[in-house]
Amino acid sequence: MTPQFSPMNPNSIKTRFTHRFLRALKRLRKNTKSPTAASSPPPSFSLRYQTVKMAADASMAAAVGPRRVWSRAILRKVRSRGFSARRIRSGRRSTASGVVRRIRRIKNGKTRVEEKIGFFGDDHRKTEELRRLVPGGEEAMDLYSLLDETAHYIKCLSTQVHTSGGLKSEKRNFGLMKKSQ
Amino acid sequence: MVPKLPFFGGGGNFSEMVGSFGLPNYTPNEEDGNEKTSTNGGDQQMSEEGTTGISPCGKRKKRVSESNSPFNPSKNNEGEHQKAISGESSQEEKKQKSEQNPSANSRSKQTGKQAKDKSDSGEAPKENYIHVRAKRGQATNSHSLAERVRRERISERMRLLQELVPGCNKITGKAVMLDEIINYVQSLQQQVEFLSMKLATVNPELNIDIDKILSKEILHSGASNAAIPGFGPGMSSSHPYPPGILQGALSGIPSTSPYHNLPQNIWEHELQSLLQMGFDSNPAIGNLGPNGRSKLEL
Repeated sequence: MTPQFSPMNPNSIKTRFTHRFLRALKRLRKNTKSPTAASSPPPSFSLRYQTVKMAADASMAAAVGPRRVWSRAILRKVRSRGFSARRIRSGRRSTASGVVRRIRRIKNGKTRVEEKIGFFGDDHRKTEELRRLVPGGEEAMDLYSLLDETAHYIKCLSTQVHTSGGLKSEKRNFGLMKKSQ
Repeated sequence: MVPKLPFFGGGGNFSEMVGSFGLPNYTPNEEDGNEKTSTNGGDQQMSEEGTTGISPCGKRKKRVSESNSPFNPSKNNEGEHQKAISGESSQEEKKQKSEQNPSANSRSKQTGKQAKDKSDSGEAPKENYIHVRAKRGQATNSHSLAERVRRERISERMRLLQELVPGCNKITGKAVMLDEIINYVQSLQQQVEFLSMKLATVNPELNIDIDKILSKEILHSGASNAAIPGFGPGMSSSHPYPPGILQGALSGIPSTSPYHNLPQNIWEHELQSLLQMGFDSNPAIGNLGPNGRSKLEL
């Protein structure tokens, strides 16, 4: 049996995520190797880091597809970020802070509502925090759907972690091998 | 368990509800409840769902002894008629409600009904709101059946999440469970950040065919995935792989082989066996000097 893909379910989230993530990384590498005129030649580490993180999230969300609330939220974020991509390349983090500001506004709005219905107790506070953590949680008003999204999100996050970890070890392996040869 | 209901005072609709039971000892004398019907908005709906809701539940003895019409909540009484099989939370709500109604011994689980009643009548005492833990942010649905179903679904989700989040088997209670979930999501996100940071470091220094990485990567993560505790039943499309695959993978990989003695366990051990460098396997989050470290190891 062919060693490559036989044990894997070709439609699983993991496969899809891996494909996309690796493609994204390849693209990123190509971009950094041949520096475009718009970007400063060696992009700063923080920039690269953010791009990789965004690539991971985006490829995860793309692998999942728009079936889930959180994946839709991430895709929306990515697309809105893409508009100001040039600003990002120049090192400014305007969109990041813009997103943060927007989130704070939402948070403030929710805390106001919470004070009004003051007798909710810890449960509500925790669900609020969970909403903040899970992307797109702000929209999923129902507790049930929020828990649903959280479960799926947890599953995909752990997939991501394991895949990235394996990928990282592979890269190190190859790096070592190249050095030794 | 068959709690005995001390009093009804139910609406006229109640007769229909009980009639569906076919209870022998019910004498439809409680007509005073009809006056209360006007105050309670959704009584008609109540009766409908009462028939559907009560029928699957166990038959409980109802005493048509007292009518609590002088006592405010006939709504509460009507709530009792909804013998719902609802979640655990209703237990506490039951007890707290019993403080309110002195003649109540033990109620049926009626919290969904309570929520509905409270939303209907503004006269309900304030404490009922708090004790009931009514999900007021939700649609104030007058269908207690829907409320009940909703709560069951939520508790089912919580159980699923308990299986997903490691180490949460013994935790009962929504608050603690939510805490654990929040912590776990945060730690997962931090891990992803950490790993992507590492990848960002390593990335530009490699000139290797991605496809090769791809195939090996998939196999490795397939092997490492075998140790992952199973995701929730309906949730995962990927299943843990039998360890037999690992041997096949090992034989198949074109090996520069010292790196492919893969233990079957968590990928941490994988890394440690693969790299003879002093490479800390799993996220000690954030304490990298990334550039320096990568230069050290590569």
